[in-house]
Amino acid sequence: MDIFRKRHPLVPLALFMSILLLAMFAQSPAITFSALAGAVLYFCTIRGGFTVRSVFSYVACWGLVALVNPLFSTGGATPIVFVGGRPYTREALLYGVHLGAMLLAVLLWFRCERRLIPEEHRFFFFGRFAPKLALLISSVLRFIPLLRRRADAMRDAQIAVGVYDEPDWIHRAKSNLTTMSALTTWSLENAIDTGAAMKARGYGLPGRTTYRTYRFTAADGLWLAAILGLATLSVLALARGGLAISFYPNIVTAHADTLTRIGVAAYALLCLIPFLSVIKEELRWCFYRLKM
Amino acid sequence: MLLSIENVTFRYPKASRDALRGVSFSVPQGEFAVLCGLSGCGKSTLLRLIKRELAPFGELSGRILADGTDLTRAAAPSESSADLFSARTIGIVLQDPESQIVTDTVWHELAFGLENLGLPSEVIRRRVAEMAAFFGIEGWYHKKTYELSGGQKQLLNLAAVLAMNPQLLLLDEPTAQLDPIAAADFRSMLTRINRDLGVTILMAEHRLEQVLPLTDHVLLLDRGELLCDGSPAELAAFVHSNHHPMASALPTATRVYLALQNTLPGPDSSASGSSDTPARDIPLTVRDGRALLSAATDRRSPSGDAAEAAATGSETPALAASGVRFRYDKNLPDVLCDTTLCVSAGEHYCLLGGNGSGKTTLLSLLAGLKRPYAGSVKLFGKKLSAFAMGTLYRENLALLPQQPRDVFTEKSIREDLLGAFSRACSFADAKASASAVADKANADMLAMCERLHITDILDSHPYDVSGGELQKAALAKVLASRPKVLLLDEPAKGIDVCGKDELAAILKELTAEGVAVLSVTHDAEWAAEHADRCGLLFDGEVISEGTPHAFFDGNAFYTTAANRMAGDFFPGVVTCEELIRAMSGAGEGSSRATEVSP
Amino acid sequence: MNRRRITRICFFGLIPLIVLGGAVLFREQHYAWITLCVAVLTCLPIWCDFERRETGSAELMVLSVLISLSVAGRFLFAWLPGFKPVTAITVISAMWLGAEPGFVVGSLTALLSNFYFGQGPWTPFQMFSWGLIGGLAGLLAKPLRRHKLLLCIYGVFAGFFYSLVMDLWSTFWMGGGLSLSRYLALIGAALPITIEYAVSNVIFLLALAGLIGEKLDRLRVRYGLFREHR
Repeated sequence: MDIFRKRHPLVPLALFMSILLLAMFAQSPAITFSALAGAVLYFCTIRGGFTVRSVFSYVACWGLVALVNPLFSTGGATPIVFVGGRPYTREALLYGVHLGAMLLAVLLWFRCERRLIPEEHRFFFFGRFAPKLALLISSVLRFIPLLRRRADAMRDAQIAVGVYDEPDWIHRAKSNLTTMSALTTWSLENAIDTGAAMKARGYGLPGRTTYRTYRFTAADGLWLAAILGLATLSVLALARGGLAISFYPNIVTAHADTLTRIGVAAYALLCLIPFLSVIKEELRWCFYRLKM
Repeated sequence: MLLSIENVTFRYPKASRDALRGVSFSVPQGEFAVLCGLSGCGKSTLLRLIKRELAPFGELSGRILADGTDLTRAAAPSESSADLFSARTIGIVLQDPESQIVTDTVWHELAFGLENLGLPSEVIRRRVAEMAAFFGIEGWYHKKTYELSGGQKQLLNLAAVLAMNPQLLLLDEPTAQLDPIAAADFRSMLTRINRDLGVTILMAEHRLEQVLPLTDHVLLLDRGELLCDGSPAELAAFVHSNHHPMASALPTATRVYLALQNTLPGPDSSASGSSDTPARDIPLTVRDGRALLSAATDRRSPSGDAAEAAATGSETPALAASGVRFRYDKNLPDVLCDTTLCVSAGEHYCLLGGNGSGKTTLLSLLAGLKRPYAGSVKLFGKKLSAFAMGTLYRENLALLPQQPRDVFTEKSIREDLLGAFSRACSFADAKASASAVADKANADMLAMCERLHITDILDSHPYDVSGGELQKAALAKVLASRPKVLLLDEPAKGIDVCGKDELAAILKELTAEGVAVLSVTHDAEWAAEHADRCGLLFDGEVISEGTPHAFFDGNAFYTTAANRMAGDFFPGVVTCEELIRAMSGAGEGSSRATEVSP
Repeated sequence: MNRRRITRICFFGLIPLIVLGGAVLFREQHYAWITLCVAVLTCLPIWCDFERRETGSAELMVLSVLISLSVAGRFLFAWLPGFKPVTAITVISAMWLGAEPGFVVGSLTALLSNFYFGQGPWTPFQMFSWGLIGGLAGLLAKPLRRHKLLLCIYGVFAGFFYSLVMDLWSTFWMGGGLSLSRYLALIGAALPITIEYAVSNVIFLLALAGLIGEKLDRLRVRYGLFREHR
């Protein structure tokens, strides 16, 4: 569900970046687990988001990071067992659990990004500040599927003239190279034709503009203010040091005052925005149906 | 005059003759003009010279005026202002739908030209919306450009050019790569643009059958010279009386009329072929043709015996597919379902079918590139999978793909062909020494090139020769392995009448030598004239099959123009020549239509 | 014009602020933060320069084709992790077209191919290292074109460079600081893949350099593209 499809691209971008950067760098369990929870909840609403296999691999990845970390760092004070004479400590294990959660949260948020930022706004920054790169990117995205289709056709053509006839793998690699060569020639000539078509449509004239499909409305302003406000609150909490935690040698957390609590709550809310928006849409439809 | 060409002569660098010589004509505002001629006659060069951004390098003299502004490089006051003028005033759509698309989404493609003109977003939004509505592409406005069909791509190109609001629209064989339905859609869109928006159109095209009824001004170019400048009727009379090769590209109705105009009792029989007294009422469409027929023939001739002996004997067919089923993915529907087809040695079988009927898929199954999940494909009674590695494509089976470019991998056609022929030679005689193989390969190659008349393009890059020439060169490469079964995918696509006739002659020679030829095509005219047997593939099955006469005569719509015209006046008539013969015979009171063997 | 200048000042004024602010804010992770900033900020000026320079339409499309080829190459060999022609195509583009196009091909390949293979915090580092490999190859274009051996050495170097950069980031980000032993351990663990990178680079460079190069040469001779870059 494209919750931000009609929003100005800055809105989802600001949301995504503030969640991501804090999750990546804050080093605080409160932040990490809020991010993880938000991502998991939102991911659940995406059709085909979680499958049995993917959940298993995510959990396995998390477990692996947690279990392996104590093998590297022996900084903790409370050993659980000794592996090859080195202590396998509780603190290092917990650090690993936290690290795994952070990796997972970041990974999941990156996967949510596909849904969060509408596809046509994905290259918003390029379109805004680097239109030529944006055009280049757009043409690459057009060309890749085409190239894969042509690659198959050319391979077939080469097979049918007997190029792939030798069974050994050296010949096979050579044949592949032949196809690759044909493909390169075709795509470069195609580039010339496309270049001509671009020129015919006025590319290269001075004063090129970029067509923007979005507009900055008052609603966008409100959204942006809310997101930035929440992000600022969490940054303030982080800056005060209330979120600090050190794992070695013993786990010590800083004293959490009211402002810190507000900051964490703000961050948690930030992470829940995508999920809550989906729920809101669902509810709206339910009511709409009921009234009918 | 919106466009005037004044005495334009052009020569490419290092070329031995002029590509254009003393061409002068003009196109008034709001006209739909067609520029016709065989490939290599200079049509594309002329269009590209008019669209100055695409102008090729070379020596140019004369003037090209659009809306009173000289567009030739020498005359331009400053590069950028002339470019701006040209970008705003003249739009061009080229042949290949694929390569003209720049961006990945339909909406961005529509906006691209407007961005280049430096328009603000609000204006672009409105223009894009207008274009999308005019062309009816709201439904796929948010699609990716690579998801579109060829016809949709070309329509998108047209819409994107038109969004820039040009006064003059140039088209370089825009429908050559499209299937007939998409091409007809495209042409009707052109008529709308010309009529409803008042855009002046100059279109290069060699298939007169489709475009003559649309236009009122035809220009005939031949080897760089303008031979004829007049109405469709004048052009028809001109090419007929001068025996110009384009005469066989005329619409069937026109050809029938011109062949018989002296014998036909008609209101305009006095207007003979001389071009100074043009025949006003030359028929151009099937409708006109039927009117002509009903006026000329007062009675219906008896229906001929369409039963010709089917060529299939008892011997094993060269290539046979039986009960073939195929789908691209487990979860997708069958593309082919219980398809059965066989081709005998020495036969040319044409498989017709619309878009998405599974023609090309069937071809790749027959060529052993894909495997059916049920049923079998047999070559001379032996399953394709039973052929040992590397023997299937040697002296057995060959495929000419839809894009002849796909078979070329080297820098010159000669290198490519030499490679193919030496592979064939070393296979034929495994013990021969390397130098013997090289000599033999060279000799074989030159013999083949002589036969296909491509000796003079041997040293060219495969991308530098014309479509028809490349087609023949690809055929040479494919024939190097001396196949007994030859599969062709859309062989007649995009080549002109001469190219088609030449290709047909080559195929005829091959079948005479006992090669089985299967061609898959959209082109009913081609199938009717050159096939021994035709089949129609629909919904994954071959639903009707027979000799061209039996096949097309049984069809009411999916048939040739001659058959549609002849209708029940002359049943069994399928090609233009037959119709002419039948009609001249009708005067003597006997219908010999069905005696003609294809 | 004036507005554009203001944008630029904001842009370049903000950057140091963000870097420093982040480093202070993310005390525990400031190494990782700064490396990330370096990776992103290396790309910016080169992209800006590319943006400003005039590029003809056909040249732009040739770049697009090269990027597409190298992304498609990643697909073609997706079943063999580490064995991919991306570096080779980037280096070849740089050798024939120049340093800046080389950087653009490398960095955009990383960015765009990750839309198919998965974006992550590693994307900026892939952009940085492939971009730099391309840029450097562009500076060394002449000798690289002349000597096959040098090309092989460059391929090996590129493989190791890529691997070392990625490991450095992993050490900083996951280890929470500068730890040489962790870095060495990571390098050791990744050694087989690193060697695979190096070998595949050499193989692809040797196989593709002539093949793609001759086609780019044809474009230069026939259509007059990329003249000023050489």
